[in-house]
Amino acid sequence: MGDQAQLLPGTLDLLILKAVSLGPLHGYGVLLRIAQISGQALLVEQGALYPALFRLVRQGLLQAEWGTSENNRRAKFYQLTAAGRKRLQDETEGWNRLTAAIGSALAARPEEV
Amino acid sequence: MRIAVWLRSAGTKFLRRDALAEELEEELREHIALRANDLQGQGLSRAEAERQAKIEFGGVEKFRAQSHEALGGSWIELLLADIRYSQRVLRKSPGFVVAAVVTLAMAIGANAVVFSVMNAFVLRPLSVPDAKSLYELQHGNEASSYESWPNYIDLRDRNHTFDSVIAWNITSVGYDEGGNPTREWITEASGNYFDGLHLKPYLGRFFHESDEHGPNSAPYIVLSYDFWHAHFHDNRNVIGRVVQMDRHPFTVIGVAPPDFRGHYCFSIRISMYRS
Repeated sequence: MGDQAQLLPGTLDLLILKAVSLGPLHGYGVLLRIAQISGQALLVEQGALYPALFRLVRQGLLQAEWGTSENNRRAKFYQLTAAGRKRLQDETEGWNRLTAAIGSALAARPEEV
Repeated sequence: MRIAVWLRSAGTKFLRRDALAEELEEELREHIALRANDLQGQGLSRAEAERQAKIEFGGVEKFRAQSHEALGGSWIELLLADIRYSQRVLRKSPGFVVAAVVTLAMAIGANAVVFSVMNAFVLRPLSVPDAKSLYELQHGNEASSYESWPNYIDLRDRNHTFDSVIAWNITSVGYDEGGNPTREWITEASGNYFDGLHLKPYLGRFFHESDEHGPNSAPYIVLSYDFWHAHFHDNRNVIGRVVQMDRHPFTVIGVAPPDFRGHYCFSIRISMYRS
């Protein structure tokens, strides 16, 4: 899978919420969607996805429904709940504030100090 | 109320446990199958694709446990799963298990020996006057120092070497001071036991050689200080009380000194001294 970045701790939940917000997905689909929307740049450890998915379901941010996969077998599809949508919005704002702050800190030059 | 709700939810979880586990397995299987399809599409053989998909997925057992936890599995299930997992791992490396068990056994054994010796000689030395002149008699070719009573009488009466020769035996009896029999360890002793050890009673009196006039002539007991303290709460009126040992009446005549815990080095807890 090549030249990819490891996820920062705590960002997996955010990425899952984002991926699922674009349409219901099964577990493997979440993985593909994250790879797709990150331009194949982010590496999610495949097994680690499931504990995160179940945790989000338990927190009421996702809901799961059994459906049929493209493999024509039973698969669990995840989609956002209202609470999940709200959480995604909050976390996206929080993330943008954080990256903006870190970006400006890292861009600081000696003459500006 | 809250406990009832918790119990019900725990109960449901337990019943649903198999269903949840089965769903989890199905989901993980499907994931690996889909990944294998994609890898096959990239030109791998089916078998190689499936192998690769499993490798990419990572430690199934670890994620299974984490998933179970995330699904709200109870700690008992997780504990059982951990126990099963450790059994499996240990079974795979019997050499390690043997080495670990032997190491632990030897370490515990060595500690126990060191402690027993320290306890006997340093922490609780033999608390009789002139302990250095106390000897145990033993036939030269026998490992045991048991003697028959008539043999002891002969040894005692013909003794010119020692100050005195005492006989003793550690045994357990059914002890009853009224309605609630318990099993207690006692030392059965010859009449000259305390005099031979040069001990003075803490309370009351000890039995003497002069109390002995044949079998069952001296139904007396002396309590150890600890036993007196625990069972009679330091009651000084205990002297003269009659208690039953193996359904025979014995009269309490005294209490031994606090630091006397039997004359034997590696002593078990001795409750009473019976003549």
